[in-house]
Amino acid sequence: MSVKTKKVKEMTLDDKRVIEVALAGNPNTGKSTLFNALTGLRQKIGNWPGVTVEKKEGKKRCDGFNLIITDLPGTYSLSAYSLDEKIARSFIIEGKLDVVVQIIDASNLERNLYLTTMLRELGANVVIALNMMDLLEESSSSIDVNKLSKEMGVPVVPMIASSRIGIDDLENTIESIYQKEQKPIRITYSKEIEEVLANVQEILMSIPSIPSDFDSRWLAIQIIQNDPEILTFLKNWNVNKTIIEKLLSFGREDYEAEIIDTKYEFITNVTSKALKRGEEKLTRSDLVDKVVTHKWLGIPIFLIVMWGAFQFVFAISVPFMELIDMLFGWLAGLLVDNINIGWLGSLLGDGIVGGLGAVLIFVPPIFAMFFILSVLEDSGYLARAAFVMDKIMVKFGLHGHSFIPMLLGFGCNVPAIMSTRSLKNNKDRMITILINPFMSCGARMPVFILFAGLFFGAAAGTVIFALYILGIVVAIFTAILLRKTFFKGKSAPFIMELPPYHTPKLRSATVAMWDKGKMYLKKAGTIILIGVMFVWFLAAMPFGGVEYGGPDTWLAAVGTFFEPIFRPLGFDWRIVVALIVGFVAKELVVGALGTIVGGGGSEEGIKDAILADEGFYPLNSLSLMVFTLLYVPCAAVIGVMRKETGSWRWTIFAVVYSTVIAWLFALVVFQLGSLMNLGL
Amino acid sequence: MEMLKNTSNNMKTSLLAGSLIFLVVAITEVILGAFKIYADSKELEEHWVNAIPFPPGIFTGLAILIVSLVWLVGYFVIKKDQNANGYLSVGTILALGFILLFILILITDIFNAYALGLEDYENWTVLASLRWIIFLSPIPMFFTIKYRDLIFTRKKKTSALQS
Amino acid sequence: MSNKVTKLDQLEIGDIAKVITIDVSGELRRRLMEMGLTRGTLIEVIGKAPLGDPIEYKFKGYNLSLRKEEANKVVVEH
Repeated sequence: MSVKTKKVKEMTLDDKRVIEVALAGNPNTGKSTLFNALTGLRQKIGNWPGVTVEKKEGKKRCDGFNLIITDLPGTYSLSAYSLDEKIARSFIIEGKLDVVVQIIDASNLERNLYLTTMLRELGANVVIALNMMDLLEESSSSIDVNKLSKEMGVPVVPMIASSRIGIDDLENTIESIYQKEQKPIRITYSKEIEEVLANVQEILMSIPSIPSDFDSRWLAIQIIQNDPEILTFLKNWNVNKTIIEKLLSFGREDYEAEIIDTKYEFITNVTSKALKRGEEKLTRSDLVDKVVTHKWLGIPIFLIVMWGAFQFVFAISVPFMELIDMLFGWLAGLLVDNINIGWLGSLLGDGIVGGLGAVLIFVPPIFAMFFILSVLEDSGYLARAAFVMDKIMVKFGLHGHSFIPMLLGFGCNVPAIMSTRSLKNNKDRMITILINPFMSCGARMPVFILFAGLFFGAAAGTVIFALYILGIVVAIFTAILLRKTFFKGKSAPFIMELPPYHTPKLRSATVAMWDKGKMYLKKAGTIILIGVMFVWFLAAMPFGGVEYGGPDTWLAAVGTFFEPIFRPLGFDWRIVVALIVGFVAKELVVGALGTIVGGGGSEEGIKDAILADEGFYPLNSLSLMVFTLLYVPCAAVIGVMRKETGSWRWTIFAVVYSTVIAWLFALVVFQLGSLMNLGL
Repeated sequence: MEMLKNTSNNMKTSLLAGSLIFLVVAITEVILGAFKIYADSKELEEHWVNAIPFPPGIFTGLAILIVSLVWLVGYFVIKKDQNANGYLSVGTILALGFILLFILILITDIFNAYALGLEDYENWTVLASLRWIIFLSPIPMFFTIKYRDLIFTRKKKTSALQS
Repeated sequence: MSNKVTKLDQLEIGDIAKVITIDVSGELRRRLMEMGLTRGTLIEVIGKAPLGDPIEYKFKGYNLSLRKEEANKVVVEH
């Protein structure tokens, strides 16, 4: 099979030839660095059809030709058992590609070449981009590029993608080979396998409906390994049922192991000629690993690194958040005061500008979070963090990679849920997403501070701490519950590469921050905005005469309507209204209470008004805090959950479940407190 | 062999000295920080801990404590004639990371206090944020200069690719 | 190496062993083999996580972590 289209694509932007390239490679080889170096910021980010895996495409103008580059998911193999591998393989098969560039970490040649053997067997036109030559030299190993190229039958371009060395060479090599047909590589397997392959090939040759660009040897190899996708192919080609059955009967589990063994033998033979290893001692990375995974030091180091990351996010985002808050507050006030056409001022001021402010205020911490996360990931530490925490997480029905999202949840659940993409197993990922809202985010803090401060005096700190613990306990309980019910089975194997440590690059962290942050702006932004506008609508209706958020509005009517449900928790309609508003964003709870109980908008005023009000007392403020802790954090989280789980069903489940849990816990707190007559 | 012995002795001394100095700073911070939390929770505004011109921080103290422990374990590893480069590197990089963080915090604090004039900054002084940088900088700086090749990857021009 | 056949998770830190076979079938075997744990591969134990599991190994010039459960499926000669 050839992945190459025979016709030259002439039609382009500037009458140049277009060469379609896919970028393949193992994870941790600098693939995205190379992709960014090639395309700059001219990238199109979307999803692969039908799945939530991210697809990146970019263009590059070169001298006399243009490149269209698609970034394939990072994979170790192409056996099409994982989603990433399936995407990569079918794109190579169907993508009408001219060239597949495989980026290879030069200091990890053997395992990387495994993917090359698969690409070559598939018949792709391959160029090897031999990356991280600097690290290779540092380890005093060396690679004979010409020999490697000869043995693998493909051009090899040495490079250092992070310093943009070798990029031009790569482009020229792509151009020079894109019309040449590379012969598919031929690894000779054991006699038995070769005989079976010959038999299968013979049958395949007799099927006329197989497209001519499918290599029959490749198909045969997949068939005898029981490749599950081949059945789909054969059915699509309308192959006769009895022939399909006959073909599939050749598959044997042992063949797979033998084929992999033989491929690695082939590779070892190649590397024995092309690679000269330096003295194998413990590398710098191994020495560092001894410290960060040290029996006593490992967990403390992990904790202070996380603490430092939080400090960073907090420090850098506070001034920006204050600025946004000031700007939008000022602008909203200006609009409300100066537009005298009744509701219009309120719509523009309270609704649109206020709503926009509520969205944008999260931008600084989210960007900062993605920045520091990317720095930690690039440095190689994030993999070690998962390694250190894995055992604890597995006990709770989670996975080593679940820890970072949980921790990020204390800051903001939105980026936390987005960061679950590091979990490749769907069950692990779903559980991690669904429990995340129980990690008490920063936006809930103002509610805690207000009520704990007002009613619990010196014990305020303890109360808030206990609330955080309650959130963690509920999260763990939920994780165990989900693992035992909907997501049965073990947590995915922890077969994870621990890449060598690198000095993180400012540039790549900035690009990653922008890429991921932009998605928050787009997706969650629209949903929060709609939510905010909806609340504004209820708080301003009916038109004419009613005070915004006052007792005669539709919002108050909604509050009164739901009041009976919340009576047993000790809430009157005003608290209910604040909680409904909090559904959009927790930041709005305190403000909404201010609007309802009065107090002139200032924090002190609200405090005095609440203290003077008989509707608020220690016990119901405690159940209010518990409810606030546990129910849906905000509309943005709902939006992100929908996007990341790809399912409305689970999103709705999370909303209903957390609200029910919140109601139950608040009920227990209030009723138990009343029964014991604590005098609260 | 003699030279190797010397280097390792040098590093042993460095690690122990660095560790002990950080340990003193850390323990002081943790103790003062604990008093501060106690005083705050009881609302004892007259408490002596509030007379200190900068508010002590228990968490920062713990962070420094861990750096100190990393170096200390490194010292014992050398004593057992094993390679302690990892301990030196990790401790130093952590400390350098914290210095960078505190410089960032200092900058944003100055901005928050003077440009934005935030309420929380009424009692804040530059010294409160600056002192960490003063306490933390000298030893990691010294280690960085002295053991540069052990801690950081050397940036060599890669000959193979220039041609 | 004293030619004793054992499982990968039984080794101590610093031990070097040679892979004989993967004693499990299906996806887990394929993944372990594709990562390079093939017949004859020399593998070194680099370290264990603070709680004893997972374990870090080095082979074919790179580092991989495996849980005990998975390492227990790799038969090695030590």
